[in-house]
Amino acid sequence: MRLISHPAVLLTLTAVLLACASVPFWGGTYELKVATRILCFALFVLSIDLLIGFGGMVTFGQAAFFGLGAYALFFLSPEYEAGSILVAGLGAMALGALAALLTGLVVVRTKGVYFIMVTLAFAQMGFALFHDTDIANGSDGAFVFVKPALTVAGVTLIDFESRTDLHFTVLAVVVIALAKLVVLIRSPFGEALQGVKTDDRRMRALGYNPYLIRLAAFTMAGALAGLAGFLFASIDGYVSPELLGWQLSGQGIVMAVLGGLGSLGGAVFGAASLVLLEEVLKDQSLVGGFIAEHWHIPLGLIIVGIVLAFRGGIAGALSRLGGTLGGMGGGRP
Amino acid sequence: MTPGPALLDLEGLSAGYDGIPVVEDISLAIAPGEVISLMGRNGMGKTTLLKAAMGLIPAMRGRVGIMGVDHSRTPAHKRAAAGLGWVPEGRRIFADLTVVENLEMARRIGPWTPATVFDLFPRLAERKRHYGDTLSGGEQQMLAIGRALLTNPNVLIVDEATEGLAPKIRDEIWETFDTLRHQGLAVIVVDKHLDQLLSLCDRHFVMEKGRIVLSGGREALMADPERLHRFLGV
Repeated sequence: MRLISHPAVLLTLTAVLLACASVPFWGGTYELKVATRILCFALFVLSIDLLIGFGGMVTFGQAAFFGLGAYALFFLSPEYEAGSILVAGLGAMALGALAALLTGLVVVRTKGVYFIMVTLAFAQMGFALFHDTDIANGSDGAFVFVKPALTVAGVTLIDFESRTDLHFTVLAVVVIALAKLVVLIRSPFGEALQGVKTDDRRMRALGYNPYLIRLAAFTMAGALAGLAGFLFASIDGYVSPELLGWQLSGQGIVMAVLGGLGSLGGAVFGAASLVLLEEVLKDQSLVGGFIAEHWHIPLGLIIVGIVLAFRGGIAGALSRLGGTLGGMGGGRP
Repeated sequence: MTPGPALLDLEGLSAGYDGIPVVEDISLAIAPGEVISLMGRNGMGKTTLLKAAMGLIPAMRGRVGIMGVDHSRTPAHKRAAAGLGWVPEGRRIFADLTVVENLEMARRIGPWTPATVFDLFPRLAERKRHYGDTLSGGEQQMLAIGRALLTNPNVLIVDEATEGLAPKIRDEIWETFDTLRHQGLAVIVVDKHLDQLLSLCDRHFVMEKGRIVLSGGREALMADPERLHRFLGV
């Protein structure tokens, strides 16, 4: 709760979002695509932060809902004409929420390492479903030939065929999601979720049902991840089973930890840091051929370094740089 | 016997962990406006009994009645809604929430509101916007009691009420229980300060190896000081 409102975190978050907003005005296709990917991942990591940072639910299967959201784009897009952004977007959220609700009925009964294992198991089942069957071309993945658009009374307001339209839409969604999550976290539900994270026995004694609170948060996070997956798939108009895989779930956790759990802004910092680090380390002209070829190794070392050096991730470091950790009232000295 | 209808009624309650009973065959009841104490050395089952009454651990045998309704199989959150307020040992307030947020989280419709809690503990009113872990031990205990009161309970269960608190703060806490009693609340209190318990509480229950071995008013307890010394180590 403290990190959300810390001035240093808010200022940096504003700066990063403004930087993302500026990309269409100076960047080419590559820069724009990277910036849109960052924002899509930020949305995905927000769903992970809601679960881990505020609910204490360490999920290793969040990519399943991200992937389902991506596949919703494929299923809800006509083959030769533009589908509706609203239909596909809301469909992706609904699919993510429904899958999270159904799996959550079982998943949120578990805790700790069992929670990790069960979420991973469900996600791998989803991966296998799309990988080992002919659904959407199986392991080959599937293309969405015409990206969706938002058309009102015959006038196309937003067309995802335009990278700029897509970019600003994703940016707006991230800003709205951040604002909604701040309200949610500060609401009685958000406080109860954090209470359940800290000690669910105490919450039961206060009259709360931790199971229902966890299930609601898990479902919301599923919807958010589904929306992120839909927007991500709209970048290239391509979906594949890898979007449900454990690697992406792990990548999301790395981004969340790197950015700072329980801060919301950290989701944006983590996504931006990891995506940009990857891009830099893969660029032979910047880091040389050897590093570019084995970029995973320096990336891992840098992540370990950041995590060890900055407790609380980037958001934690920013809050310490900015002075006192208590952003409100009479916080800590 | 209780002076009126029981708000909480335990009958032959047994509970424990992993199938091994820690408390056995406990029967006690508490009426409105009553304050009772649970005494005994460490490890005698006081906290286990309170948790079993609250539904935080399952009962192996026996009955838990709240306001005359059988709640033996109801989960803890429903027992809280039925009228049991719990102040856990060690306060365990939410460190990352402010005083107001800690209180608001527990709030349920009823006469107790954050404002009435601040009337009861003016010290908390001065620290409304402070985070839980910046409060002193005494303030944390006041907050823990205030948080339990905001669930608008009929019975307040307080485990280790004044543990680790300065004498002046302890006195404030004892006075609070007396105030609550006069408002019709029933209070079950676990503490180690025998003198204060004897002067505050209407009845006492002394536990030894998971059973109640001595019970009654102040006179009953003081009638056999040697026995009391054996059970309490005082």
